[in-house]
Amino acid sequence: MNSRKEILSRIQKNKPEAKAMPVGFTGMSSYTFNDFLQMLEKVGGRSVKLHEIGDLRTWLRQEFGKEDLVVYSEWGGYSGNHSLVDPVNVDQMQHIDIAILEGEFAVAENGAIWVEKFRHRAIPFITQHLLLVISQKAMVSTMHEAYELLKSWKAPGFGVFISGPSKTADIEQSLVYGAHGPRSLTIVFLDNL
Amino acid sequence: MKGHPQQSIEFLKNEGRVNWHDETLWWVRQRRDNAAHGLTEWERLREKASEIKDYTLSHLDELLLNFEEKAIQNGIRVHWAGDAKEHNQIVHRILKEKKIDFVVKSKSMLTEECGLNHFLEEQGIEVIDTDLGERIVQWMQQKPSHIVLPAIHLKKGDIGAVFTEKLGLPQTNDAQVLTEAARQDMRKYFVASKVALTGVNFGLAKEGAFVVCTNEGNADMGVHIADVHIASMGIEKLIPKQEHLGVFLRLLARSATGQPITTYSSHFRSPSPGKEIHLILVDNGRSAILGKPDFRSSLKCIRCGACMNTCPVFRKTGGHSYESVIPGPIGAILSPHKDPVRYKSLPFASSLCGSCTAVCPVKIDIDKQLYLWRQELSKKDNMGRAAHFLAGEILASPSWFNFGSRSFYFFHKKFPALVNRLLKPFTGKRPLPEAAPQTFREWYKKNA
Ligand code: SF4
Repeated sequence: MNSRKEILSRIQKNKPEAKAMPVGFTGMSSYTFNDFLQMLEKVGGRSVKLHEIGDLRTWLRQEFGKEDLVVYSEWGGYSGNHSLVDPVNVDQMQHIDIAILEGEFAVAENGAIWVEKFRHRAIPFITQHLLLVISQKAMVSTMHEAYELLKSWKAPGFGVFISGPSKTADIEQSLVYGAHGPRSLTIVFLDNL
Repeated sequence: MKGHPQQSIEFLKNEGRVNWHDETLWWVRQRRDNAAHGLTEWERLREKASEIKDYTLSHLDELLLNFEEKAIQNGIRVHWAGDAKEHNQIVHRILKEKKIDFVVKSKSMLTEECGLNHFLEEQGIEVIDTDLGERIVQWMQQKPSHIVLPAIHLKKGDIGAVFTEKLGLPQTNDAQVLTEAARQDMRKYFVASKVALTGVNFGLAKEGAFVVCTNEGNADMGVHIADVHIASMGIEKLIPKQEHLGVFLRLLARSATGQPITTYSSHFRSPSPGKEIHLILVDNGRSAILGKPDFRSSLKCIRCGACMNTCPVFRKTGGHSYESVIPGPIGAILSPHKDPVRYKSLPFASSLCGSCTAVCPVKIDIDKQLYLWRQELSKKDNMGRAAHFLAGEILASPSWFNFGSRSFYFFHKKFPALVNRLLKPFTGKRPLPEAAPQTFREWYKKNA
């Protein structure tokens, strides 16, 4: 408790003259759906339109090339073959090949998706591959608008912007996907605009 | 302490590697430029970020109190640490309560600053650095040489060798294979860990929440599987409110690597039911810097690393030459606050070209502070004063300069080996080029 008091009193003594709170940022560029697609590609992700790929089950098998895929889905439009029981622990999650979650909205300027709904917070990271299902209409242009939407962020205690699959360039700046998190990220768009 | 010029000699021994380091960081700098030029509002964003940080510093006590109150309401346990030692003891106390013998840790320059790994290892607790670059330097018993690219001083051959030694992987230079091996190995620790440590990129005063940014997903793998998350945060990492992240997250990754945003920007507001989040607010000299008007803006730093990538001295001499936790231009102005004797050579490890200031996303006047440090340190140090005289007085006076350059020219022409030997601390392995047949002044007089 002492340190708290000491730190605060040092700050009080040392801080500069009070500045006024800056006004909000205005005059940002605007970005379109196509910008989103380009950015997504740049960050190593890809997207598909649900109505174009037909049956999701067949598509998954084709794309991920394995008969006995462990698919865990929280999206109402698809039921996987893996379920979790409370209390969810790491043993139930560590063999998931594909997790299908719902995204809340997309950000066109950087290819990111805001995700905050999952049975367990580790799922979007521990899965080998991640699919995020989202409506094409749920898109904002920049991060400023994203945080306008998140002003009313109330429910869960954790949320994350995900932009592409997990990656590293720590070995001589060679880019490798699948560092510790998902090896791939696929955005599944729902409506046919 | 040998000081920066002596340390650089080691790095400069391998010319091929120096050139690779130089070119690679320059390439990262160019990626930053491309990303920045892609936003017409870039300069206005920097301006705004700087204003927000200035506001924060001028209200830091109130904002910290608000942050604490809200965080506690959210179920986060808040601790305050006056210095590195207290920070380490707080972490250790939590770990002892949980009776665990290893922790996973994602990248945090603050825990490096506090010497946490070493401290915990002395207490018998193993620390597993989970960021790939940090894991590699940890295996090699080294320190990160860059705050964003910890293993940028290493080549694939070095890294392959340490994977052979530690994991029994046949020697390979394939980054894909090496990364996969590290992934498989690290999963064992992730799934077994009970406590995970992270740093904090931004604390949100109004919301009592905080944000951690990574590309690998290692911070999230750690904290969501473990029962306890300990986040260490410097008191200057605060911003007033969540909506300001719009400005900072647009700047951070673009400045750091040229990415439009990091892969993961994780927002923590409260722990999952049954789990714990501890947040440690660390001062460790920051409040003292706040009291120095010429230097306080260095507290605005968001640790993007752009000033390192652009710095000609950093690129040519490597991060380890600085011998400080934070190297490069920002390290050169932060470290002497900690220890002006130990780090006295760092503000001189610069050409004062101002490139750092030109790229800094929060507009810290790094070059000016380097210059001010030189003056301050020169007052204390005769060698500094001599250098100062040579550089300042001689360059300022045309007749002295003329005399100086003619005498240097004379000596260099007559006794090149001697001159090269005398200048070795400054020129490293590279000898001066041979003296030209005449001085520029002489040539100009004849030809102009
Ligand atoms: S001083 Fe500026 S450029 Fe350097 S790391 Fe900090 S924020 Fe980035």
